[in-house]
Amino acid sequence: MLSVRDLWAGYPGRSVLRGIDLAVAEGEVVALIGPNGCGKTTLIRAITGVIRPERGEVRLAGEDTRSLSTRERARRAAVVPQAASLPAGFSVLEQVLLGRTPHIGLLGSAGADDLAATRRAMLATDCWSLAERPVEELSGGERQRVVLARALAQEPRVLLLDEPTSHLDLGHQVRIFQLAIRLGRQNGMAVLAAVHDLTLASLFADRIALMEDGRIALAGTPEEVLRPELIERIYGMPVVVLRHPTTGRPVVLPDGASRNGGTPASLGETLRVE
Amino acid sequence: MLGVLRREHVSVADAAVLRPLAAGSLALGLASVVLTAGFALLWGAADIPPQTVGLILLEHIGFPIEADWPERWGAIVWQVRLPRVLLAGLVGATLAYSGTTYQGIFRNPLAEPYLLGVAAGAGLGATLIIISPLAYSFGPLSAVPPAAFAGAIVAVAITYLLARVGPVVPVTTLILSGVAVGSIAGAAISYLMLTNGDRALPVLSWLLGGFNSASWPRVWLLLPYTAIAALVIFPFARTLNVLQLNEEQARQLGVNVEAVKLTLLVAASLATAAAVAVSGIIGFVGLVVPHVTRLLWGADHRRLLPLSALLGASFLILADLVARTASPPTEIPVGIITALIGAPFFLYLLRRQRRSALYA
Repeated sequence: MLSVRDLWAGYPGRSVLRGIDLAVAEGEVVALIGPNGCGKTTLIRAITGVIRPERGEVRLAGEDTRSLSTRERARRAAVVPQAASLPAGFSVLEQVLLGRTPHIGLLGSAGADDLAATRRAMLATDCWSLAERPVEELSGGERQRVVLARALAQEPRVLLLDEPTSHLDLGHQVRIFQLAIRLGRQNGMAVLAAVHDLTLASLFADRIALMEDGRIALAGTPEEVLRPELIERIYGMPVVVLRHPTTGRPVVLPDGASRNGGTPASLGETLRVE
Repeated sequence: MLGVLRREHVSVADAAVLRPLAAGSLALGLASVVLTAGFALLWGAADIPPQTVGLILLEHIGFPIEADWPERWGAIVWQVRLPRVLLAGLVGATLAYSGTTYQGIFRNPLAEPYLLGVAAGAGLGATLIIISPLAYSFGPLSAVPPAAFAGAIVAVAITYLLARVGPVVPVTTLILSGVAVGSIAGAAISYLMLTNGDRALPVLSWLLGGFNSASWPRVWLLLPYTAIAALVIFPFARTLNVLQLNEEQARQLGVNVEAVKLTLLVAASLATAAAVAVSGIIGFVGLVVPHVTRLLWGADHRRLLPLSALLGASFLILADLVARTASPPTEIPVGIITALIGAPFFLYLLRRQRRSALYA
């Protein structure tokens, strides 16, 4: 559904992506992890055509994105960004309706079909009851549900999540993530989710792609990718990997008692010595 | 907040959200234009009875009416008042919908149609003609509109080319180069005024703007530009709503942002240049009328564009009426009136709605 081959892309004078190969199948959820600056957001930008690839190709539902118009691309791939802008002065329903833009066209106007798709997306994300609320009154979790609804109203084949929950509390993080992934699977979308939280990645993804410095260092099941020596090398921090007691998935924790850092206890000892 | 959907459960059939331009507000806007235009036609230095004004208008559009009024009255109504009212209305509508378009593209409440150097460029063009010997050879004002129009177009083109970075034109660079081009033209205008002291007054009075040289040819000069620009811009209303997200998200929703921006800026700038060419630099309308419309009717551009045009038209007709009747026989420059009655009203709305969502 989504396939990226030998993709090079970046900004003027600076290639951020240096030969990315990645494929996400229909109904599959792939988590994209890697340290800050490794190119996760740039990859999502290159897939959606915000930046132009220098080399290589991106295929959405079989079509090379270079042969697709901006509008055709937006019908195939939707993004839930980290901090989506929800312009002031529009109700929640109007915000979600904006997701129908690639189906309406530049000069057209929304019809009953668009309203029906909007309603489906809002019911699925449990924000239909917010329909007439102005966005300024929404909480952080509600805002992200509205943004998710907007992306679903786009009826894409590929759903791209760019750290959509990193500023939310634990409960909302898990719920929004779970919701996005369940809806993506139910609708046969390919889901690619950039996440910082390695535990979220491990618990919810079918596969994990670990990025390092503009390349995919390793892609595979959570067990294959979340290995302590690999994470330690790429994140530059010693870690321990445990088993989640109920799911059995790997859970990555910083190894606080190591030579590089200091636990509060050892810090206390140091102070006492002085 | 927008009065779109009030009930707990929203039915898909109740799709007010699909047709946001309610007939009521449109009728209100049209009525305000007709009302102010009517007042402006009836009111003036010459004391012509209202029914005679009506008969003169009817006679001119072809009704078989016996002209039993002084010939002078006919000329005053048809050659002076009517083109003046029409021109003020057209300029007001043009500045207002162009301002709405600029604010929509730049997502900046301080954006206005003069942002990219239209006014300064037009001012420089006009100044050059007014101080040159040409001003006499063509009659003092007839050569000014084309020169102002050319100056405006050149200034905006320079601004746009300076701001371009490869294939894209970032909004911030565009605003900054607009400011720079505007300052250069402004400096040139000041220098020319100082070194041509005998012509400083006509230059200043042109710069302040007004409709005392309104005429049918000026109406016909402006009409095609503003009509074509409106025909280009208004269908983009929904796309302007999408642009209220940031540009990256608009692109991810399938909008070809750079092409839309260029199309709308060219259309709005051409219309504004034509408006400035026939009326001088009238401030405030293009900045504040869009905000007033937004405070009254919400942020949806499908409502904002037509309603701001109607509000701008009636506002400038009214302001011009005050400008020419407040202290006869002298006229107050209309820009002073627009600021004097517009600003307090705007501040009143802003304070009344300060908890409103629009400027959160």
